[in-house]
Amino acid sequence: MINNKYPVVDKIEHSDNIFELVFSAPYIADQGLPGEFVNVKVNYNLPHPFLRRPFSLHDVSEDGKVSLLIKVVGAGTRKLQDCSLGDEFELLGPVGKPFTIPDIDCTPVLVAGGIGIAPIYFLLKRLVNEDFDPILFLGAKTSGDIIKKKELISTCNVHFATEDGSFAKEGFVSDLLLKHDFNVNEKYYFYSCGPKPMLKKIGEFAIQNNFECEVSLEENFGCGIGACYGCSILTKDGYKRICRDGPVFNIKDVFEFL
Amino acid sequence: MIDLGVNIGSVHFKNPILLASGIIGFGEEYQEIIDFENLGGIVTKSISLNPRAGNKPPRIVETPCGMLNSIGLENPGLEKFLNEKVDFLKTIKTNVVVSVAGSSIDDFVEIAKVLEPIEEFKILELNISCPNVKEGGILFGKNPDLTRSVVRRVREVSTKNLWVKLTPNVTNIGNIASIAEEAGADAIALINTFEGMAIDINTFKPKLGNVIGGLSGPAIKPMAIKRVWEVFQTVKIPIVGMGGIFSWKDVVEFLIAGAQIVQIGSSIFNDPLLPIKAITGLSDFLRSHNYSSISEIVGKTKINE
Ligand SMILES: Cc1cc2nc3c(=O)[nH]c(=O)nc-3n(C[C@H](O)[C@H](O)[C@H](O)COP(=O)(O)OP(=O)(O)OC[C@H]3O[C@@H](n4cnc5c(N)ncnc54)[C@H](O)[C@@H]3O)c2cc1C
Ligand SMILES: Cc1cc2nc3c(=O)[nH]c(=O)nc-3n(C[C@H](O)[C@H](O)[C@H](O)COP(=O)(O)O)c2cc1C
Ligand code: FES
Repeated sequence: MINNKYPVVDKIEHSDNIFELVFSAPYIADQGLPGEFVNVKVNYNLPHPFLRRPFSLHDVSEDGKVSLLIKVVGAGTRKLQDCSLGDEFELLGPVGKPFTIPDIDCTPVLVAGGIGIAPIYFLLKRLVNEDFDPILFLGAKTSGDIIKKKELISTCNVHFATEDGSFAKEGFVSDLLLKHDFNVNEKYYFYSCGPKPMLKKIGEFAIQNNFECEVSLEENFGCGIGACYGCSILTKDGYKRICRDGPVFNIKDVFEFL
Repeated sequence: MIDLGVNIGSVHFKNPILLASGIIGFGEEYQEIIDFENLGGIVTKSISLNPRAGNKPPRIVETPCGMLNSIGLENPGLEKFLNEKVDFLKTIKTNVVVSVAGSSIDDFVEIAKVLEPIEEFKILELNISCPNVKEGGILFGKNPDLTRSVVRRVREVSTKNLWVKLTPNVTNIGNIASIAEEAGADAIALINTFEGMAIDINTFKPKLGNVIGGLSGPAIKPMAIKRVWEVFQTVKIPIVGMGGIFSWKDVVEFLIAGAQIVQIGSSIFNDPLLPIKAITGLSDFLRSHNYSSISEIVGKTKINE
């Protein structure tokens, strides 16, 4: 984990409010793992917005590039959207506990809701690189919010759902998953990132079927590196810091507190 | 190079820039990005006699130019502090101030007694000002009699440099500061956070799980400066100033208001390199104005001149 200034080398608009920022950040590209995140400073000289904004690593490349996939929801994310190529931002990271890459033969099942695809995409690529054959369930509000459709279709077995039915199945991605035929003789490893109600449904399903399951959680951050106890959430073992003990947790440790 | 050194009692600080309590925990995480050695010191998260789980989340919300927190003094308690934190803290090559919180006067006394033999820790900061706990905390700092008793009783068992950290949530902070001085404090640290609250207008629910919290960050700086200036006029012992420091200029302002030492708090979250930048900025400021030491500007606010 280091704090450093990195230049924006590319900005890709995926929709009106979802964009990808690419930094030249060799250290983070080299060290970063799926599920880890960076704390981005979004103010310069002025004390607002005061706190850094956490974003999951979305992609890294061998030539030192790091992508963040960002949904615009407020002042901080808008500031990032308004930046120009060459602008520099301070990133503190990589931080956090990453997703587990299984050391057994199994089928990874990745479930992403909305901007939850940000870390899930990086995980998907890693798993494919490690010769797994993952299944991806991806849900979004509407067709335009589904990023990298073609690439995803060519990479893995993918099931889409949109809440407004503008693309693929209409409805929640969690409902799509519950209807899926899972083979009772196979081992599955579930991973999920997205809104809490979705994580609850997936978690319940995984626990009932005795599948391993990891979820990535969110809370407001102060320090973002484990020092201030500002992001603690209740778990089976008492309060844990999302930024350091997570953001990835085993569902069994957090399910009853979601 | 200008000497930025400051002495409080027998303790020497290589410069007046410290990190405030509750910001860097016990240092393990931030040591990766901040060279503590270059600072005048660091203050630990407040430790209590027994472990504290802390408050219901969310514990942090951003506000204009600042933040509200309601951590609720989550900390491992004295025993785990001794077993798991002290060895690392002893390796830090600058002053480590141990912040102490109690739910009763006896708690403060007990912790002070246990820390007394640890020579590496030369300073205790009594946190009688936390707004986020039900027992103890701010209740001490708001009550002149309790302030007097807790400082007196700790003074009886501790030979360490004793700092008393005050809350701004009182009508007359100068009065509380004088009482702490009389009772044996070596320095007054101020301020802890201002009580505050934020409500979500869509759900009508408080944004903090604990409903209320403490406001910190640049938003509170003018209120902190005013209180440092006020306390400077009522006590003779040194002042450790804090509240909203966001640049080296803020450090200079606190010194002029009357602080000999400052602590940087929540702005570390924004810029962990701020303390180092502040040391350079302060040094450059003194040089360019031909001052040879900090004491030439401390408490030199010009009123009606
Ligand atoms: C570990 C972690 C990883 C994250 N990864 C990503 C990512 O890869 N891509 C991405 O787009 N976002 C991610 N987020 C969320 C992102 O940090 C917030 O959306 C961002 O901080 C909002 O900043 P803002 O200034 O634009 O909005 P603000 O002005 O701070 O908030 C605007 C609105 O957004 C809501 N909001 C703020 N923070 C969050 C949050 N953490 N979750 C949900 N709603 C929030 C607020 O309640 C408010 O209503 C992540 C969060 C965490 C904790
Ligand atoms: C997240 C957080 C945790 C804090 N925890 C403590 C604490 O444990 N003990 C204490 O004396 N002060 C605590 N404080 C108060 C700070 O030390 C400081 O007095 C206050 O934040 C004002 O300074 P600032 O505006 O520079 O942050 C905490 C502040 C924050 C933001
Ligand atoms: S945000 Fe400070 S501990 Fe997680």
